[in-house]
Amino acid sequence: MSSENILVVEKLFKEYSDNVGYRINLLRGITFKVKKGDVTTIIAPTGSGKSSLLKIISGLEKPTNGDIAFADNTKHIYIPSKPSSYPWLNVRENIVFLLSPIDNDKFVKIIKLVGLDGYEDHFPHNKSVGFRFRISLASALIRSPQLLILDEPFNEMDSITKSEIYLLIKEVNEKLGITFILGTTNISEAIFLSDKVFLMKKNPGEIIDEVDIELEKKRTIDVMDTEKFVETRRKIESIFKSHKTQKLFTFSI
Amino acid sequence: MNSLPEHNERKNIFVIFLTFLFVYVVLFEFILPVNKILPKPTLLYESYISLWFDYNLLFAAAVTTTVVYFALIIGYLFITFFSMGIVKLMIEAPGLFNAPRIFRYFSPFFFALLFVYWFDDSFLAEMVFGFLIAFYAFGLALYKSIPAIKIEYVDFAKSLGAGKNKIYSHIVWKSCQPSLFGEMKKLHYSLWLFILTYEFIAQTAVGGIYRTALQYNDLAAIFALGIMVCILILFGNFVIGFLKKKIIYWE
Repeated sequence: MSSENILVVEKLFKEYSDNVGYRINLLRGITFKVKKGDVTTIIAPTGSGKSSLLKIISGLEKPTNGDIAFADNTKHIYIPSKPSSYPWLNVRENIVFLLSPIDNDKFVKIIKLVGLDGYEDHFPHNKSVGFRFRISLASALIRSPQLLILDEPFNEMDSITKSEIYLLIKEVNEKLGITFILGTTNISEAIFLSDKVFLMKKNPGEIIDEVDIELEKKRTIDVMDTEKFVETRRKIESIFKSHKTQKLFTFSI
Repeated sequence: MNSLPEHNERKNIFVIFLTFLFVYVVLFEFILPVNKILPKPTLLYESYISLWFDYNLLFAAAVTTTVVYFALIIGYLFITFFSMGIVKLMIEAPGLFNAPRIFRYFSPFFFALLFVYWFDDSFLAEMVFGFLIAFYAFGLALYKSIPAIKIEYVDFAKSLGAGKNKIYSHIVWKSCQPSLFGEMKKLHYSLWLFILTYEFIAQTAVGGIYRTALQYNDLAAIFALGIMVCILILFGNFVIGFLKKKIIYWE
């Protein structure tokens, strides 16, 4: 593995048997590389096996075949798509969950960074998805990971919270130099956040293309109105469309 | 603080209760003082005095409430104390816990008869009977609640580096607690029913008084006892509800 990469996924396959015993190919030959310090996004339609891919990378699921290689001593943490902060613990307890000893200075720094300063004693059960995501992010950050794997974290957020969290992820990426891998179905979100996007189709899940995002590293929400952003979006949409057409054509033969 | 609909609901229940009480007093004190449906209100009052002295109500009520709440508390504590082992077994060897589900098809009345037959009117046997019902009900509730545990909690904990044991004790057990408390509320009613049935058969404590009152055709005593048990259940229900709010604060 070259020193600029933090993760290399090679020829990853995932098969499973459905209820009636048919073998289903969920992922087929997934291959991609993630550069250190980048935000890399996998854009794929719902049901394409994105979550399974991210779980396999995180070590929560096993692939049927293939290799996953991390750069030496890479600590990686996976944040699920649904709120994963524990409702019976307050914000502080959630963040330092199972952590011992606790570095108080680091805790203060992290809680300020994610915007939960002053909420240490609050419980997350009646809070918004965005609030709960900040807790999960802080729980991950306090453990100093080099790689964060986020599985569709913005799914249930309103548009204002989404923009806030986008900027928070960009800030964490810039300030702490943490590499991110994101899974999403939202093209605009992927372009705004990423340095590189991989496009994945479904049935079976396969990487069909990759696009380098040529926008400035420092971004504000306004970048979404720029010509370059719209162009990139069109490019990605056309790749997905052409692939769909191609598939239909293949089927008709 | 109670919400407005909850407050209105309580107010409605209170108004309905007062209406029934009024109708009962007017109907059975003045219009139908002699009947075989419900006792005269003044007779009911006298009946409490008779229950207290002739039937030794205080001791009987102490025995019954001890058995009901002891079974409930010990059953819950037992499940809590051995939670990790039980949950581990339930996840890793679910077949083991499918077998006792067969007991669902047996009426507890059958077991009550067996226990009375084996142990006569032993207080300890009654305690064990209550505990077994509570343990079985809590165990079943725990077993049923495991598939409902949110996978994202487990995945995130694993990703943070939590081992199996930490996941069982910090996440699986905590996630199961709301259903256990829900079960406690249901079990509270059924335990009263089962224990009173047991005592009715064994002719001990409150259930025993019911049987004696029935044998003497003492309608006022049956009715007075019914009201007393109703108040005890109401109070127990209130305490369990209060504990649930305090312990399961995230629900």
